[in-house]
Amino acid sequence: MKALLICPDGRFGVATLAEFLPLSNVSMLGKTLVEYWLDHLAGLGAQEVVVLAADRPDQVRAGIGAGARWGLRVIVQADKRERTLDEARIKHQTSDHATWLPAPNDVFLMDHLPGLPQLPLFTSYADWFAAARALMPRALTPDRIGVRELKPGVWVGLNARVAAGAKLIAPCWIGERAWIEAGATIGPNAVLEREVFIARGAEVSHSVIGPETFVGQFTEVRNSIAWGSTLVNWERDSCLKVTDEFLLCSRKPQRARTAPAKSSAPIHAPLSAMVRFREYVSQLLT
Amino acid sequence: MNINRQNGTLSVTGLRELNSTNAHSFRSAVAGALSHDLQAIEIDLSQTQTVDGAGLGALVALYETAKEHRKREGFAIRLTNPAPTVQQMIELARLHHLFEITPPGSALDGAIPLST
Repeated sequence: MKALLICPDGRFGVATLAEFLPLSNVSMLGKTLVEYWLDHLAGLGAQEVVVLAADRPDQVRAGIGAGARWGLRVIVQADKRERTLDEARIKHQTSDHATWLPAPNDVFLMDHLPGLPQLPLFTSYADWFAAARALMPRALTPDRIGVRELKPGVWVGLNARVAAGAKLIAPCWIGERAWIEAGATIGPNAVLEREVFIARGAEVSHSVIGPETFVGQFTEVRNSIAWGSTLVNWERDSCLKVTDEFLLCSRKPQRARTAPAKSSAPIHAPLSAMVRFREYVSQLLT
Repeated sequence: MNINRQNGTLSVTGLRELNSTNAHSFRSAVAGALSHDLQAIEIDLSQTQTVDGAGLGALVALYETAKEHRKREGFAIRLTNPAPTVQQMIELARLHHLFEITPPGSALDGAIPLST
């Protein structure tokens, strides 16, 4: 049986999320959107899946390969634009209809998570966060290797390190190889993706921290999506590029789809200012 | 940058940026205008487009200087009308716990006293 998956093209409401990756490759609780959908289609009995990608199809292809992980044959096809469900059916379901999964499971637009159609992902950052929060209690599926529920509502991924003095408040999700230093507070409603580093004294609540993001000492990330050096407040819908790496940055170099706008602000604060600032805040707030 | 004083309040306006290029001069200028009869400092951030770690450090340093200078209860430092991104930066660094933040369109009331 065959099925079609349509990757979302750019979405104005979450433009920052698509800055470094196509939306189908953005991680949510350790898996990309297209991985969730391939899980779902494999569960429905699909054997072949055609993925239509208008945005950076090479990256989509690199992320999922030929589908062997799911026991599927996956073909990623570049498309000029995002198709509607009907357009995709007309264009691709030219062969015997009996070979396709019965409608409506024959075609999906990946603008929501499987099983959560009431929670659109890409209309706004607030919606993205709401979906991540809703996914938390459902994400501990049997195929997750090494994820443990430390206490009710606190999930910790493989090889994550949580210092003894860190405080975890449910619900929160700590991804693979995340590192949380003593004195940090995670939660409630916090999602840390893989390889996040939370430095001493930092607080993360009602937020998603993207993969490989460093959150500096004594910082507070609240009502936000932090992705590398990009900080989006989902409540106020404002977006900030943080230029001070001791506050927030990516742990690895990021390659943007388009060159970032040049800023007159310096990339690094002077070391003396950084040290003074950290000393002041640590003295005043602890 | 303009510094005016009226009715016990020191107002700082016209601050287009608060970063490593002007953090030192900002701190020196405001600290130099402090006096013992001040009741509040208001820093208008409505024209401020960028704030970085050096600028945040200058604000914290000003907080410390003002605390030493003025130990009376009820003294406040207000950051008024920050752009959303500037407010994000302030909150990321947790300075909203030290300063009263008055977003654009908000009434000025309930000043948080400077701890002594």
